[in-house]
Amino acid sequence: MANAHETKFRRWTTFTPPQRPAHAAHCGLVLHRRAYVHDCGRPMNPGMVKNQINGGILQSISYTLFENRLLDPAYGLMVNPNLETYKITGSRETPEIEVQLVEAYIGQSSTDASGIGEAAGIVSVGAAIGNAVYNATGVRIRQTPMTPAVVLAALNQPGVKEGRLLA
Amino acid sequence: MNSFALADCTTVDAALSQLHDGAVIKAGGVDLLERMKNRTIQPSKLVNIRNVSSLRGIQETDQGLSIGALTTLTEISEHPTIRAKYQILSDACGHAATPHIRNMATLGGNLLQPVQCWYYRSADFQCLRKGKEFCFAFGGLNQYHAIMDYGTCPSVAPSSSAVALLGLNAAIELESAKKGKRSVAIKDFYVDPDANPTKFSVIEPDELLTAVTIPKTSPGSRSAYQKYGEKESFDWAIADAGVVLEMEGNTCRRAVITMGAASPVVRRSTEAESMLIGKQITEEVARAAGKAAMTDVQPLSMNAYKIELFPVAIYRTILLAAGQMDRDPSAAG
Repeated sequence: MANAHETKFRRWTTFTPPQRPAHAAHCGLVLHRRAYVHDCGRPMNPGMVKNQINGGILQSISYTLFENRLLDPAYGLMVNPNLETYKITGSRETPEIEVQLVEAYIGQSSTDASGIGEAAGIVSVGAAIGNAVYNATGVRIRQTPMTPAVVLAALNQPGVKEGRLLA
Repeated sequence: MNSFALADCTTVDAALSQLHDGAVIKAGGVDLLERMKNRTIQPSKLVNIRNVSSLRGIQETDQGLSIGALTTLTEISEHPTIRAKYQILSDACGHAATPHIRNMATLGGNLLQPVQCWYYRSADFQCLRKGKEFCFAFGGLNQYHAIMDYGTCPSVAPSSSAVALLGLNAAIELESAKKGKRSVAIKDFYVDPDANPTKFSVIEPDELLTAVTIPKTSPGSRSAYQKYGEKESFDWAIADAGVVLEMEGNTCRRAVITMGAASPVVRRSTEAESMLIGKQITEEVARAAGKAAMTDVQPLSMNAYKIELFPVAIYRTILLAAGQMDRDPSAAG
Protein backbone atom coordinates (compact mmCIF):
# COMPACT_ATOMS: atom_id res chain seq x y z
CA MET A 1 0.00 0.00 0.00
CA ALA A 2 1.37 3.36 -0.99
CA ASN A 3 2.16 5.66 1.89
CA ALA A 4 1.18 9.32 1.92
CA HIS A 5 4.55 10.43 0.61
CA GLU A 6 4.32 8.19 -2.45
CA THR A 7 0.79 9.33 -3.20
CA LYS A 8 1.87 12.93 -3.05
CA PHE A 9 4.95 12.17 -5.10
CA ARG A 10 2.85 10.51 -7.78
CA ARG A 11 0.61 13.56 -7.88
CA TRP A 12 3.70 15.72 -8.28
CA THR A 13 5.17 13.66 -11.09
CA THR A 14 1.92 13.64 -13.06
CA PHE A 15 1.45 17.36 -12.60
CA THR A 16 0.98 19.04 -16.02
CA PRO A 17 3.33 21.94 -16.57
CA PRO A 18 1.88 25.20 -17.83
CA GLN A 19 1.30 25.07 -21.57
CA ARG A 20 1.70 28.76 -22.29
CA PRO A 21 3.44 30.32 -19.32
CA ALA A 22 4.59 33.53 -20.96
CA HIS A 23 4.99 35.15 -24.30
CA ALA A 24 6.89 38.20 -25.42
CA ALA A 25 4.37 40.88 -26.29
CA HIS A 26 5.38 43.73 -28.51
CA CYS A 27 6.49 45.76 -25.52
CA GLY A 28 6.77 43.59 -22.51
CA LEU A 29 6.15 40.20 -21.06
CA VAL A 30 2.65 39.01 -20.30
CA LEU A 31 2.33 36.15 -17.88
CA HIS A 32 -0.71 33.98 -18.36
CA ARG A 33 -0.38 31.23 -15.81
CA ARG A 34 2.04 30.44 -13.07
CA ALA A 35 2.21 27.05 -11.47
CA TYR A 36 4.18 26.30 -8.35
CA VAL A 37 4.96 22.99 -6.73
CA HIS A 38 6.50 23.19 -3.30
CA ASP A 39 8.11 20.59 -1.07
CA CYS A 40 6.88 21.94 2.22
CA GLY A 41 7.23 19.21 4.79
CA ARG A 42 4.06 18.86 6.83
CA PRO A 43 1.85 21.90 6.26
CA MET A 44 0.41 22.79 9.67
CA ASN A 45 -2.04 25.16 8.01
CA PRO A 46 -2.25 24.46 4.26
CA GLY A 47 -4.21 27.67 3.59
CA MET A 48 -1.47 29.76 5.14
CA VAL A 49 1.22 27.87 3.23
CA LYS A 50 -0.55 28.53 -0.08
CA ASN A 51 -1.06 32.12 0.92
CA GLN A 52 2.66 32.49 1.61
CA ILE A 53 3.55 30.95 -1.75
CA ASN A 54 1.08 33.18 -3.60
CA GLY A 55 2.61 36.24 -1.99
CA GLY A 56 6.11 35.09 -2.82
CA ILE A 57 5.18 34.51 -6.45
CA LEU A 58 3.63 37.97 -6.79
CA GLN A 59 6.62 39.65 -5.23
CA SER A 60 9.08 37.80 -7.40
CA ILE A 61 7.11 38.53 -10.59
CA SER A 62 7.47 42.12 -9.53
CA TYR A 63 11.25 41.77 -9.09
CA THR A 64 11.62 39.95 -12.38
CA LEU A 65 9.56 42.24 -14.60
CA PHE A 66 9.28 45.67 -13.04
CA GLU A 67 11.07 46.64 -9.88
CA ASN A 68 14.23 48.66 -10.21
CA ARG A 69 15.79 51.15 -7.84
CA LEU A 70 17.09 53.70 -10.29
CA LEU A 71 19.97 55.88 -9.18
CA ASP A 72 21.17 58.80 -11.22
CA PRO A 73 24.68 57.80 -12.33
CA ALA A 74 26.22 61.21 -11.69
CA TYR A 75 24.47 62.25 -8.48
CA GLY A 76 23.65 58.93 -6.83
CA LEU A 77 20.12 60.05 -6.02
CA MET A 78 17.16 57.76 -6.52
CA VAL A 79 15.01 59.11 -9.34
CA ASN A 80 12.01 56.87 -8.69
CA PRO A 81 11.42 57.11 -4.94
CA ASN A 82 7.63 56.76 -5.13
CA LEU A 83 5.10 54.11 -6.06
CA GLU A 84 4.27 55.95 -9.26
CA THR A 85 7.67 55.49 -10.85
CA TYR A 86 8.96 52.53 -8.81
CA LYS A 87 6.90 49.92 -10.58
CA ILE A 88 5.42 46.92 -8.81
CA THR A 89 3.05 44.19 -9.96
CA GLY A 90 -0.53 45.39 -10.21
CA SER A 91 -3.75 43.47 -10.54
CA ARG A 92 -3.52 43.50 -14.35
CA GLU A 93 -0.08 41.91 -14.28
CA THR A 94 -1.09 39.09 -11.98
CA PRO A 95 -1.39 35.74 -13.76
CA GLU A 96 -3.49 32.79 -12.78
CA ILE A 97 -1.55 31.16 -9.96
CA GLU A 98 -1.77 27.48 -9.17
CA VAL A 99 -0.10 26.08 -6.08
CA GLN A 100 0.40 22.42 -5.22
CA LEU A 101 1.94 21.28 -1.98
CA VAL A 102 4.12 18.19 -1.86
CA GLU A 103 4.00 16.86 1.66
CA ALA A 104 7.33 15.15 2.18
CA TYR A 105 7.80 13.61 5.63
CA ILE A 106 11.47 12.96 6.06
CA GLY A 107 11.68 12.77 9.83
CA GLN A 108 14.00 15.72 10.36
CA SER A 109 11.99 17.15 13.21
CA SER A 110 9.32 16.06 15.66
CA THR A 111 6.59 17.59 13.48
CA ASP A 112 8.15 17.25 9.99
CA ALA A 113 7.19 20.87 9.38
CA SER A 114 9.48 23.01 7.23
CA GLY A 115 10.03 26.75 7.02
CA ILE A 116 8.00 28.25 4.23
CA GLY A 117 9.11 31.87 4.34
CA GLU A 118 11.02 33.58 1.58
CA ALA A 119 11.98 30.31 -0.07
CA ALA A 120 8.45 29.95 -1.39
CA GLY A 121 8.42 31.72 -4.70
CA ILE A 122 11.03 34.41 -4.46
CA VAL A 123 14.07 32.61 -5.77
CA SER A 124 12.76 30.44 -8.53
CA VAL A 125 10.28 32.66 -10.32
CA GLY A 126 12.87 34.78 -12.14
CA ALA A 127 14.45 31.65 -13.55
CA ALA A 128 11.05 30.20 -14.48
CA ILE A 129 10.06 33.38 -16.33
CA GLY A 130 13.48 33.45 -18.01
CA ASN A 131 12.91 29.86 -19.17
CA ALA A 132 9.42 30.74 -20.39
CA VAL A 133 10.81 33.64 -22.39
CA TYR A 134 13.43 31.34 -23.87
CA ASN A 135 10.74 28.81 -24.71
CA ALA A 136 8.61 31.49 -26.38
CA THR A 137 11.30 33.42 -28.25
CA GLY A 138 14.49 31.39 -28.36
CA VAL A 139 16.33 34.16 -26.52
CA ARG A 140 17.93 33.97 -23.10
CA ILE A 141 17.46 37.03 -20.94
CA ARG A 142 19.89 37.08 -18.03
CA GLN A 143 19.02 40.44 -16.58
CA THR A 144 16.21 41.69 -14.38
CA PRO A 145 13.91 43.50 -14.51
CA MET A 146 12.93 42.23 -17.96
CA THR A 147 11.51 45.53 -19.17
CA PRO A 148 10.40 46.18 -22.76
CA ALA A 149 13.78 47.80 -23.42
CA VAL A 150 15.64 44.70 -22.17
CA VAL A 151 13.39 42.27 -24.06
CA LEU A 152 13.67 44.24 -27.31
CA ALA A 153 17.44 44.49 -26.95
CA ALA A 154 17.62 40.72 -26.44
CA LEU A 155 15.39 40.04 -29.44
CA ASN A 156 17.49 42.39 -31.56
CA GLN A 157 20.79 40.67 -30.86
CA PRO A 158 22.60 39.66 -34.04
CA GLY A 159 21.56 36.23 -35.20
CA VAL A 160 18.22 36.18 -33.41
CA LYS A 161 15.45 35.37 -35.83
CA GLU A 162 12.83 33.59 -33.79
CA GLY A 163 10.53 35.93 -31.93
CA ARG A 164 11.71 38.95 -33.88
CA LEU A 165 9.22 41.77 -34.17
CA LEU A 166 7.61 42.06 -37.56
CA ALA A 167 6.96 45.81 -37.70
CA MET B 1 4.15 69.85 2.66
CA ASN B 2 4.06 73.54 3.67
CA SER B 3 0.95 75.16 5.09
CA PHE B 4 -1.28 77.01 2.66
CA ALA B 5 -4.54 78.94 2.54
CA LEU B 6 -7.53 77.34 0.84
CA ALA B 7 -10.19 79.40 -0.92
CA ASP B 8 -13.28 77.34 -1.60
CA CYS B 9 -15.23 78.73 -4.57
CA THR B 10 -18.58 77.79 -6.07
CA THR B 11 -18.65 80.13 -9.08
CA VAL B 12 -16.19 80.88 -11.89
CA ASP B 13 -16.14 84.60 -11.03
CA ALA B 14 -15.33 83.90 -7.40
CA ALA B 15 -12.46 81.61 -8.45
CA LEU B 16 -11.08 84.15 -10.95
CA SER B 17 -11.13 86.91 -8.32
CA GLN B 18 -8.88 84.73 -6.10
CA LEU B 19 -6.28 84.11 -8.77
CA HIS B 20 -3.51 86.51 -7.82
CA ASP B 21 -0.25 86.50 -5.86
CA GLY B 22 0.74 82.98 -6.71
CA ALA B 23 -2.59 81.33 -5.96
CA VAL B 24 -2.93 77.95 -7.67
CA ILE B 25 -6.10 76.27 -8.90
CA LYS B 26 -7.03 72.92 -7.37
CA ALA B 27 -9.60 70.78 -9.17
CA GLY B 28 -9.24 67.03 -8.64
CA GLY B 29 -5.92 67.65 -6.87
CA VAL B 30 -4.37 64.47 -8.27
CA ASP B 31 -1.24 65.93 -9.82
CA LEU B 32 -1.12 69.14 -7.77
CA LEU B 33 -1.04 67.45 -4.35
CA GLU B 34 1.60 65.03 -5.56
CA ARG B 35 3.83 67.91 -6.59
CA MET B 36 3.17 69.65 -3.27
CA LYS B 37 4.17 66.51 -1.40
CA ASN B 38 7.30 66.22 -3.55
CA ARG B 39 7.99 69.86 -2.63
CA THR B 40 8.46 70.82 -6.24
CA ILE B 41 5.69 73.38 -5.79
CA GLN B 42 4.87 75.22 -2.57
CA PRO B 43 1.91 77.52 -3.21
CA SER B 44 0.75 79.89 -0.49
CA LYS B 45 -2.88 79.59 -1.57
CA LEU B 46 -5.00 76.99 -3.31
CA VAL B 47 -8.25 77.95 -5.02
CA ASN B 48 -10.57 74.97 -4.86
CA ILE B 49 -12.86 74.89 -7.91
CA ARG B 50 -14.12 71.37 -7.39
CA ASN B 51 -17.53 72.70 -6.31
CA VAL B 52 -18.04 75.02 -9.30
CA SER B 53 -20.92 73.08 -10.82
CA SER B 54 -21.02 75.13 -14.06
CA LEU B 55 -17.61 73.73 -15.02
CA ARG B 56 -18.79 70.15 -14.92
CA GLY B 57 -20.61 68.21 -17.61
CA ILE B 58 -20.69 67.41 -21.30
CA GLN B 59 -22.93 69.37 -23.68
CA GLU B 60 -23.71 68.55 -27.27
CA THR B 61 -24.03 71.75 -29.28
CA ASP B 62 -24.57 72.62 -32.96
CA GLN B 63 -20.82 73.04 -33.33
CA GLY B 64 -19.98 69.75 -31.69
CA LEU B 65 -19.17 69.03 -28.09
CA SER B 66 -18.32 71.16 -25.09
CA ILE B 67 -16.73 69.43 -22.12
CA GLY B 68 -16.48 71.30 -18.83
CA ALA B 69 -13.00 71.40 -17.33
CA LEU B 70 -14.12 69.62 -14.16
CA THR B 71 -15.60 66.63 -15.97
CA THR B 72 -13.77 63.57 -14.72
CA LEU B 73 -11.94 61.17 -17.01
CA THR B 74 -14.42 58.43 -16.03
CA GLU B 75 -17.41 60.59 -17.00
CA ILE B 76 -15.81 61.33 -20.38
CA SER B 77 -14.87 57.74 -21.12
CA GLU B 78 -18.36 56.49 -20.27
CA HIS B 79 -20.37 59.19 -22.05
CA PRO B 80 -22.54 57.54 -24.76
CA THR B 81 -21.99 60.23 -27.44
CA ILE B 82 -18.24 60.28 -26.86
CA ARG B 83 -18.17 56.49 -27.03
CA ALA B 84 -20.12 56.52 -30.30
CA LYS B 85 -18.55 59.45 -32.15
CA TYR B 86 -15.28 60.30 -30.42
CA GLN B 87 -13.89 56.86 -29.63
CA ILE B 88 -10.35 58.27 -29.51
CA LEU B 89 -11.25 60.48 -26.53
CA SER B 90 -13.18 57.76 -24.76
CA ASP B 91 -10.20 55.39 -25.19
CA ALA B 92 -7.66 57.95 -24.01
CA CYS B 93 -9.60 59.05 -20.92
CA GLY B 94 -10.63 55.50 -20.10
CA HIS B 95 -7.07 54.15 -20.06
CA ALA B 96 -5.23 56.80 -18.09
CA ALA B 97 -3.80 55.79 -14.70
CA THR B 98 -6.21 53.69 -12.60
CA PRO B 99 -9.99 53.64 -12.07
CA HIS B 100 -9.56 55.46 -8.72
CA ILE B 101 -7.55 58.25 -10.32
CA ARG B 102 -9.93 58.52 -13.28
CA ASN B 103 -12.79 59.08 -10.83
CA MET B 104 -10.96 62.02 -9.26
CA ALA B 105 -8.92 63.45 -12.14
CA THR B 106 -10.50 66.18 -14.24
CA LEU B 107 -10.02 66.89 -17.92
CA GLY B 108 -8.60 70.35 -17.15
CA GLY B 109 -6.10 68.92 -14.69
CA ASN B 110 -5.10 66.19 -17.10
CA LEU B 111 -4.36 68.76 -19.81
CA LEU B 112 -2.43 71.07 -17.49
CA GLN B 113 -0.03 68.53 -15.94
CA PRO B 114 3.60 69.54 -16.21
CA VAL B 115 5.90 67.03 -17.90
CA GLN B 116 6.51 63.63 -16.32
CA CYS B 117 10.31 63.84 -16.15
CA TRP B 118 11.59 62.38 -12.88
CA TYR B 119 14.27 65.04 -12.68
CA TYR B 120 11.66 67.77 -12.99
CA ARG B 121 9.42 66.01 -10.49
CA SER B 122 12.15 65.64 -7.86
CA ALA B 123 12.98 68.46 -5.47
CA ASP B 124 16.59 67.21 -5.50
CA PHE B 125 17.24 68.26 -9.07
CA GLN B 126 17.05 71.93 -10.05
CA CYS B 127 16.63 71.59 -13.79
CA LEU B 128 16.13 73.73 -16.84
CA ARG B 129 12.38 73.65 -16.49
CA LYS B 130 12.58 75.01 -12.97
CA GLY B 131 14.40 78.05 -14.34
CA LYS B 132 17.95 76.72 -13.89
CA GLU B 133 20.45 76.00 -16.63
CA PHE B 134 21.00 72.29 -16.73
CA CYS B 135 19.05 69.28 -18.00
CA PHE B 136 19.91 66.11 -16.08
CA ALA B 137 18.15 63.75 -18.47
CA PHE B 138 20.65 63.92 -21.33
CA GLY B 139 23.48 62.41 -19.31
CA GLY B 140 21.31 60.63 -16.76
CA LEU B 141 18.48 58.12 -16.79
CA ASN B 142 16.36 58.78 -19.85
CA GLN B 143 14.57 55.52 -20.69
CA TYR B 144 11.16 57.19 -20.63
CA HIS B 145 12.18 60.41 -22.34
CA ALA B 146 11.60 61.89 -25.79
CA ILE B 147 12.87 60.46 -29.05
CA MET B 148 11.97 63.39 -31.29
CA ASP B 149 11.27 67.13 -31.48
CA TYR B 150 13.35 67.98 -28.44
CA GLY B 151 16.04 70.61 -28.11
CA THR B 152 17.06 71.57 -24.60
CA CYS B 153 14.58 69.38 -22.67
CA PRO B 154 13.71 65.81 -23.73
CA SER B 155 10.85 65.28 -21.27
CA VAL B 156 7.62 63.88 -22.70
CA ALA B 157 4.08 65.23 -22.79
CA PRO B 158 2.16 63.41 -20.03
CA SER B 159 -1.47 63.98 -20.98
CA SER B 160 -3.16 61.14 -22.83
CA SER B 161 -6.34 63.17 -23.33
CA ALA B 162 -4.24 65.79 -25.17
CA VAL B 163 -3.20 63.10 -27.68
CA ALA B 164 -6.88 62.49 -28.40
CA LEU B 165 -7.90 66.16 -28.40
CA LEU B 166 -5.11 67.04 -30.83
CA GLY B 167 -6.50 64.38 -33.16
CA LEU B 168 -9.97 65.90 -32.81
CA ASN B 169 -8.72 69.47 -33.38
CA ALA B 170 -10.19 70.64 -30.08
CA ALA B 171 -10.02 74.16 -28.65
CA ILE B 172 -9.23 75.08 -25.06
CA GLU B 173 -11.44 77.76 -23.51
CA LEU B 174 -9.67 80.06 -21.05
CA GLU B 175 -11.06 82.84 -18.89
CA SER B 176 -9.50 85.50 -16.70
CA ALA B 177 -10.92 88.36 -14.61
CA LYS B 178 -8.95 91.04 -16.45
CA LYS B 179 -8.83 89.83 -20.04
CA GLY B 180 -12.07 87.89 -20.28
CA LYS B 181 -12.47 84.79 -22.41
CA ARG B 182 -10.25 83.42 -25.13
CA SER B 183 -10.08 80.22 -27.09
CA VAL B 184 -6.80 78.52 -28.02
CA ALA B 185 -6.51 75.65 -30.51
CA ILE B 186 -4.91 72.66 -28.82
CA LYS B 187 -2.06 72.62 -31.33
CA ASP B 188 -1.05 76.08 -30.04
CA PHE B 189 -1.83 75.38 -26.40
CA TYR B 190 1.41 73.71 -25.29
CA VAL B 191 4.68 75.63 -25.20
CA ASP B 192 7.83 74.18 -26.71
CA PRO B 193 10.50 74.06 -23.97
CA ASP B 194 12.99 75.66 -26.36
CA ALA B 195 10.75 78.74 -26.57
CA ASN B 196 10.19 78.97 -22.81
CA PRO B 197 11.49 76.17 -20.58
CA THR B 198 9.53 77.18 -17.47
CA LYS B 199 6.15 77.41 -19.19
CA PHE B 200 4.21 74.29 -20.13
CA SER B 201 1.18 75.83 -21.81
CA VAL B 202 -0.04 79.28 -22.85
CA ILE B 203 -2.34 79.56 -19.83
CA GLU B 204 -1.49 82.60 -17.66
CA PRO B 205 -1.42 82.43 -13.83
CA ASP B 206 -4.66 84.45 -13.60
CA GLU B 207 -6.49 82.31 -16.15
CA LEU B 208 -8.82 79.41 -15.59
CA LEU B 209 -9.33 76.57 -18.06
CA THR B 210 -13.13 76.42 -18.26
CA ALA B 211 -13.94 74.01 -21.06
CA VAL B 212 -12.74 72.08 -24.07
CA THR B 213 -14.72 72.33 -27.29
CA ILE B 214 -14.52 69.69 -29.97
CA PRO B 215 -15.84 70.29 -33.51
CA LYS B 216 -18.39 67.91 -35.00
CA THR B 217 -16.97 64.82 -36.58
CA SER B 218 -17.49 64.52 -40.30
CA PRO B 219 -19.44 61.60 -41.74
CA GLY B 220 -17.32 58.50 -42.20
CA SER B 221 -15.06 59.51 -39.33
CA ARG B 222 -13.64 56.77 -37.13
CA SER B 223 -11.05 57.01 -34.44
CA ALA B 224 -9.08 55.11 -31.81
CA TYR B 225 -6.37 55.55 -29.21
CA GLN B 226 -4.06 52.99 -27.63
CA LYS B 227 -1.47 53.32 -24.96
CA TYR B 228 1.44 51.00 -24.22
CA GLY B 229 3.25 50.99 -20.92
CA GLU B 230 5.67 48.71 -19.11
CA LYS B 231 2.74 47.61 -17.01
CA GLU B 232 -0.87 47.17 -18.00
CA SER B 233 -2.17 48.96 -14.94
CA PHE B 234 -1.17 52.23 -13.29
CA ASP B 235 1.64 53.21 -15.60
CA TRP B 236 2.58 56.06 -17.85
CA ALA B 237 2.69 55.50 -21.57
CA ILE B 238 6.03 54.63 -23.10
CA ALA B 239 4.29 54.86 -26.47
CA ASP B 240 0.76 55.95 -27.28
CA ALA B 241 -1.01 56.83 -30.48
CA GLY B 242 -4.28 58.45 -31.51
CA VAL B 243 -5.75 57.95 -34.97
CA VAL B 244 -8.69 59.74 -36.64
CA LEU B 245 -9.67 58.50 -40.09
CA GLU B 246 -12.23 59.97 -42.46
CA MET B 247 -13.28 57.16 -44.75
CA GLU B 248 -15.08 57.31 -48.07
CA GLY B 249 -16.16 53.77 -48.63
CA ASN B 250 -12.95 51.81 -48.15
CA THR B 251 -10.67 54.71 -49.03
CA CYS B 252 -9.09 56.99 -46.46
CA ARG B 253 -9.85 60.60 -47.36
CA ARG B 254 -8.24 62.30 -44.41
CA ALA B 255 -6.12 61.01 -41.53
CA VAL B 256 -4.80 62.51 -38.33
CA ILE B 257 -2.18 60.58 -36.38
CA THR B 258 -1.05 61.91 -33.03
CA MET B 259 1.60 60.67 -30.64
CA GLY B 260 2.26 61.18 -26.95
CA ALA B 261 5.34 60.06 -25.00
CA ALA B 262 7.56 60.78 -28.03
CA SER B 263 8.21 64.48 -27.69
CA PRO B 264 7.99 67.33 -25.13
CA VAL B 265 4.72 68.48 -26.71
CA VAL B 266 2.03 66.20 -28.17
CA ARG B 267 2.65 65.96 -31.89
CA ARG B 268 0.98 65.07 -35.16
CA SER B 269 2.83 62.86 -37.58
CA THR B 270 2.13 64.26 -41.04
CA GLU B 271 4.59 61.69 -42.45
CA ALA B 272 2.42 58.85 -41.18
CA GLU B 273 -0.81 60.59 -42.22
CA SER B 274 0.39 61.02 -45.81
CA MET B 275 0.93 57.25 -46.08
CA LEU B 276 -2.79 56.67 -45.51
CA ILE B 277 -4.50 59.38 -47.56
CA GLY B 278 -6.15 58.14 -50.74
CA LYS B 279 -5.44 54.52 -49.88
CA GLN B 280 -7.42 51.58 -48.63
CA ILE B 281 -6.46 50.75 -45.09
CA THR B 282 -4.72 47.39 -45.01
CA GLU B 283 -2.22 45.94 -42.60
CA GLU B 284 0.58 46.72 -45.04
CA VAL B 285 -0.45 50.36 -45.41
CA ALA B 286 -0.85 50.73 -41.65
CA ARG B 287 2.61 49.28 -41.02
CA ALA B 288 4.12 51.63 -43.59
CA ALA B 289 2.45 54.57 -41.83
CA GLY B 290 3.84 53.42 -38.49
CA LYS B 291 7.34 53.27 -39.95
CA ALA B 292 6.96 56.68 -41.59
CA ALA B 293 6.18 58.23 -38.20
CA MET B 294 9.74 57.47 -37.13
CA THR B 295 11.38 59.60 -39.84
CA ASP B 296 13.06 62.17 -37.62
CA VAL B 297 13.99 60.24 -34.51
CA GLN B 298 17.01 61.02 -32.36
CA PRO B 299 16.95 58.57 -29.44
CA LEU B 300 18.82 59.31 -26.23
CA SER B 301 21.25 56.89 -24.59
CA MET B 302 18.55 54.63 -23.05
CA ASN B 303 15.36 55.01 -25.07
CA ALA B 304 16.11 53.64 -28.55
CA TYR B 305 13.61 50.84 -27.83
CA LYS B 306 10.81 53.37 -28.32
CA ILE B 307 11.66 53.50 -32.03
CA GLU B 308 10.36 49.95 -32.28
CA LEU B 309 7.35 50.51 -30.04
CA PHE B 310 5.85 53.54 -31.76
CA PRO B 311 5.43 51.99 -35.24
CA VAL B 312 3.67 49.02 -33.62
CA ALA B 313 1.45 51.28 -31.50
CA ILE B 314 0.57 53.38 -34.54
CA TYR B 315 -0.17 50.55 -36.94
CA ARG B 316 -2.31 48.68 -34.43
CA THR B 317 -4.24 51.85 -33.60
CA ILE B 318 -4.82 52.58 -37.30
CA LEU B 319 -6.26 49.10 -37.76
CA LEU B 320 -8.35 49.50 -34.59
CA ALA B 321 -9.73 52.82 -35.89
CA ALA B 322 -10.46 51.26 -39.27
CA GLY B 323 -12.35 48.44 -37.58
CA GLN B 324 -9.93 45.81 -38.81
CA MET B 325 -8.49 44.81 -35.46
CA ASP B 326 -9.88 44.41 -31.99
CA ARG B 327 -8.52 46.42 -29.15
CA ASP B 328 -5.02 45.15 -28.39
CA PRO B 329 -5.28 43.11 -25.18
CA SER B 330 -1.71 44.00 -24.26
CA ALA B 331 -2.36 47.74 -24.53
CA ALA B 332 -2.40 49.43 -21.15
CA GLY B 333 -5.48 50.26 -19.20
